[in-house]
Amino acid sequence: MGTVTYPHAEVIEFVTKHFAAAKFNVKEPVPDFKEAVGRGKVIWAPLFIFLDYRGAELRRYLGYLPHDHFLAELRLVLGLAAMTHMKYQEALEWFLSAVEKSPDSSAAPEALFWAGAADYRIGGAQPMIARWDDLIARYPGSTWATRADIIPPELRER
Amino acid sequence: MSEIQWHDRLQPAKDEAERTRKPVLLDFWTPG
Repeated sequence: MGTVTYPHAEVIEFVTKHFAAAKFNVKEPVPDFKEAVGRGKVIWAPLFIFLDYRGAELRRYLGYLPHDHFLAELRLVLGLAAMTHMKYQEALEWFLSAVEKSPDSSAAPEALFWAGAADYRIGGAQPMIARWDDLIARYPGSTWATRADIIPPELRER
Repeated sequence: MSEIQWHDRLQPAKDEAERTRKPVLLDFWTPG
């Protein structure tokens, strides 16, 4: 991450604009290391943990990502932060931007799933169903398509 | 900005987050 992803100009600009960032060397833990890790453990690195501005955990994931995949993760996290604070329209925009700007990223199908959740909060079941149908069509092999494929026929508009 | 400005402790990152309403990104890394 330190040699390829973090030096990328778009990553620098995005992280600087949207996040408060801290780095911890797992081999040299500082006094608040355990508090930073929370209730889990660092069993592999790099490990990324995201908190909202009040300290509530939003997400954690593992492993190196190239810059476009990492940016998709960051947009997904910003959407989750907005969802946490009931800013559903803002959340929807972040989720959709993760998909549209990095459609081949590992975060894209998950972001589309969450876009459906934001749609539900904004407009109810039908917009969510439409979004999840799009997810199933665009990412049919993903675990997020599997999770979205739960709509009973009686919930669909005739 | 030529590089990301990283805190090396949790509390300063949380303080910045609370002040700016930004989420916190924590990176746990190993050298090499």
